[in-house]
Amino acid sequence: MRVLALYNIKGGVGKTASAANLAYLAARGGRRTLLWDLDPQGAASYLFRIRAKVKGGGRKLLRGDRALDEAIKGTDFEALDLLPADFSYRKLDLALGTMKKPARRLAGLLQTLEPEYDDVILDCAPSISLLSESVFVASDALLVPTIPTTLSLRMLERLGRHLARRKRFRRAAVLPFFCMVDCRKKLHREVTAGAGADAEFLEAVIPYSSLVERMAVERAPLHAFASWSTPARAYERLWAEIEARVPS
Amino acid sequence: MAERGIAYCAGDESELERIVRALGERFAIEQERTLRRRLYYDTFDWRLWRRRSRLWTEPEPAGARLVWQREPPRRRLGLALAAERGGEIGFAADLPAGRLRDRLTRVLGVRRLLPVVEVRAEGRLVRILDGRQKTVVRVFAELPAARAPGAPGPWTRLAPLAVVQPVKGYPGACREVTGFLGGELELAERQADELEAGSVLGGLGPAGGYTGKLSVPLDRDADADDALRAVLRELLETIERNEAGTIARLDTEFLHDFRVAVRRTRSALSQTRKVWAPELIRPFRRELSWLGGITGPMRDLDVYLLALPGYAAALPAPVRADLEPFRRLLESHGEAEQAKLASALGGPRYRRLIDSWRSFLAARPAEESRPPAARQPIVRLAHRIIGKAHRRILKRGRAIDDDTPPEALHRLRIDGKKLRYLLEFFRALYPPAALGPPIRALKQLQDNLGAYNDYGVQLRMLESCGGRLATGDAPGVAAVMALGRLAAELERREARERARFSERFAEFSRGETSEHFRALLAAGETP
Repeated sequence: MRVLALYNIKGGVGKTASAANLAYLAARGGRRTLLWDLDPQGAASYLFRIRAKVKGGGRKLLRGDRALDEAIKGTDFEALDLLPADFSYRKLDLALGTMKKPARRLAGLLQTLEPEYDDVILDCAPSISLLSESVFVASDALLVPTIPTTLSLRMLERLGRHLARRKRFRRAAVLPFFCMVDCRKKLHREVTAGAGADAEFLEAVIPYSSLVERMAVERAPLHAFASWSTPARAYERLWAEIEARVPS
Repeated sequence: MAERGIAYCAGDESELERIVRALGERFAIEQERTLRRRLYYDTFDWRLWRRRSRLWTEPEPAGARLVWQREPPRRRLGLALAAERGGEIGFAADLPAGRLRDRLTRVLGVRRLLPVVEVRAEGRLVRILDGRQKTVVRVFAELPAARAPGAPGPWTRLAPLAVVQPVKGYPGACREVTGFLGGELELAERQADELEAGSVLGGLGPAGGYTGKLSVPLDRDADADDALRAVLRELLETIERNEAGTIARLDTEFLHDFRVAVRRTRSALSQTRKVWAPELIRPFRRELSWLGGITGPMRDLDVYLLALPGYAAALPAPVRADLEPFRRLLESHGEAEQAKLASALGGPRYRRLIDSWRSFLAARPAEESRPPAARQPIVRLAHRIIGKAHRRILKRGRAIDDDTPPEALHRLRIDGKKLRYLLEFFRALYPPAALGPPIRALKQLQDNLGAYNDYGVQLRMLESCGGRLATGDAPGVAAVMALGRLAAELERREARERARFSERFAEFSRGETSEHFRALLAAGETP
């Protein structure tokens, strides 16, 4: 089972849209896929028309009092399931802090899903916390959507340094990719063209598109209503690269 | 189709329409047209079907998807293929790397995947929605049809179905829908297996039809020659069913099963000589011996080529690549032998043999050419020849010590096969529980003798090939040196099997095993 986390310290970089579209593509490619909406805002749950509510809240899930499997909902798409967000997820950090080996907690939980799924995609909340450390330990790859600006690149660098510090974080491959790229902006063009210097970015570039924003209106992944579109194609290329880079 | 959900049978197309309409009146639904196409695969001997698993391809926007529904409750494995491959999957080992390939290779072994049934289902996907317009149950209303793959013949309609597929996390909605279909609409739930239905209608015979295993129903009091003809007819059928696959060389098991059936036939005839008039049976024995002869070299090469990777793995890594010229030589021999074999099996001599043998087996010979032994009850004959074959092994085996030449072990191996075949021919005359222990004891011994023989044959082939590889240039030298390493490996293995023999034989000849044989024959005496 592969665990892929959409992660960035910053918010509003296209994490949820990317998580939804990549999860859709994974399932379409024949992999039994679970998307776990870890963001208390519940945007990914909303996109799939699923109520952002987990019975008993996130604390019980993390403690293992309630089996993950019971909280999972099927989506409108075959082979794609979703573990909804819950508003209580905002306090998961506090809950983790009271548990033994908090950083390993998530990895242990995900193991129970091993027979059910080929891919687990984590849509993480924007922060750097005990929960995100738990994500670093559990993941095979951190997919980092990055808007091509100088500040974003700086954050990416910091993330890299942070991950290098701990041995248990080094298992996850860090795969940044450019997201919400507006080719009318000179800075975006420059950064996308020359970024190879410090970090290795995936080649596929997700353009800024109102269709991606429209996902929240259609409440569906991009391919369900605009499979022909430029951003949909870009996500396909991105997924193909991820498939090649992260062995299952 | 149980893997897709709970299936309800609709009598005909218009009833299916009524079901969809009723769902629309009762629930909030959305509909879309669907066309489901599947090409089911299995090996010639139905290895997947026997494990209650299904393998199929279905077309996808880009290429196709291979799906393996394993035996419940194990889950499905899937794999994206570049194209549908038009029914050509080949061997599991040729699939893209991954879990599906590894697991499937273990189940299929050396057998090739062949398309068995093509299914096409037009219909509608009815999505039952909740207040958020989210799908909470899927109902597939479809009209499946099947045909044999390859020849684009007409489609045969299978029963129309409504398949309810639950969506995870919405059990209540699913209960509501099944309650509605089963309760209010009074539809009958049923297990629908389109592979099974399709294979019968597609003219393939029942799914799981072919097996290399022999099992002939016998009446213990039947005349010996009648019962034997039933056994021989079954063997002839195996020969004929493997003919096309042997000629096309789809995989190595066709030739293997073909040869085993020929050898069983010859063995049956040689052990029941008194049952037949000699002048009737002599030409068949001669021709069957020819058939055994022309299929032998190819099989020896197959065994070698199949075992070679295992031998290579035992050698140091740098030497492995140097075995490549030898492997290619074996393969080119194989091609030549296969051409000879295919032309013999396509030729008149083979055709005459099969046709005359079939008509011989079809009816009892005239009374005047039936020796008295032909009229004894089969159970008595079986008892006598099984006892005899068993005693012969004990006698031959006891005469073997550490210095006995290989030929004696070879003869013992043949004796073992003869006994094994008898136990298989007459399986129906004995209680299964009584057959188990003697067969297992015999198998232990035969595995040892078989491996010993294979290594000997392969060493001799190695010697005869070595000269041809020594052409004098540098790769030739490396190749010959690799052969030296291989020969040493084979000799080591041969010696190991030889050393094991006395222990294995002691196991077979000890009182307890003989007791099993006595018990078996005693069980055959009492009906």
